Amino acid sequence: MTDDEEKLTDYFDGRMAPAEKAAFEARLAAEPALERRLRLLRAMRASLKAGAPAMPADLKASLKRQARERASRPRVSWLESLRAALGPGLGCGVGAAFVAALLAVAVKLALPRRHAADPAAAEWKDDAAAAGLKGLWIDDDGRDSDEG
Amino acid sequence: MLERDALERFVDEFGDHAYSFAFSLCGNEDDAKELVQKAFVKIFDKAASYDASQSLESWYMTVLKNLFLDWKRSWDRKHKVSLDEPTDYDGLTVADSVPDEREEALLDRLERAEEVRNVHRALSRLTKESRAVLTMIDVNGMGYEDAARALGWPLGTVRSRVSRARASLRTRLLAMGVTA
Repeated sequence: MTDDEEKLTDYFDGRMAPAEKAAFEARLAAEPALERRLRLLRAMRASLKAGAPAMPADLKASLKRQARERASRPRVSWLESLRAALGPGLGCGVGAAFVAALLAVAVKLALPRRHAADPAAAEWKDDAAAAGLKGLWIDDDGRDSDEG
Repeated sequence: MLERDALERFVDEFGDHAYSFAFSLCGNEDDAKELVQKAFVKIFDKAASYDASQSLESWYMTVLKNLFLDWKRSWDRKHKVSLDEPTDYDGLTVADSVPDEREEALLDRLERAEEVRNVHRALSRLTKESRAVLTMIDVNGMGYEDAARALGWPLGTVRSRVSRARASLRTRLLAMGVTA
């Protein structure tokens, strides 16, 4: 019946192709148990809809008020919000510190990168990476026949 | 980006769907209200970055679902609940052997709208995945594509989970009919 349950679902929700729908309707006409299950689906849906709780009026009114307030509130950027929260004097100080930090990052990025302090250690790392790669190919004789 | 009036209109038009989805996940009014409120506030805050090619409803549902999962994880930690909850299976088999009369009787009660409360009680006992997908598709009328986007599942998973969730709901209702 599980297969029939899914077919009933497809039929009930209008998700059958025309040919399949016609064949299923023929079955419904011939099989009272199947047709009863379809009527049960309709009746259960009607009961579910009939008893669905509506949103309480006070909640709806409150949400509508909030929606109106949000819509009328002008949009403020996060920087403006921060400045307003910190006050005029502190806001300027934080702004200056922020600009200084940005400059420091820019200078650091502009300078050429140097290698690790210990060249031997860097070399050891490279060797280890190479050994790992070699290990990957150690059994490979170059033919494709042993792959896949 | 959302237009000036779009947020308020969205609350107006979509509030009930959002709330019923949250309620089906949380199972109680207080948590559902809090969850919906948080999800809307998040949407309000991110309205400027809204991508109009995406459905607003499925965006909202994604936000709400993620908030629910965060809330559920912290609730489970606090109450030391096992994280091994079944993910997409309600622990019930499709009762193929159910006698026709029992299904006929259930259908009769459903069609006379006598089972609305029981249907919601049965829904609340399914897994969170089943509750989510049934509420999206059967209650809120979302399409599979939007539900898949909101839940972060492939389309085929939505199809199989909605099918299984409906079968589990029916099985639970039949069991409740026996014990009622």
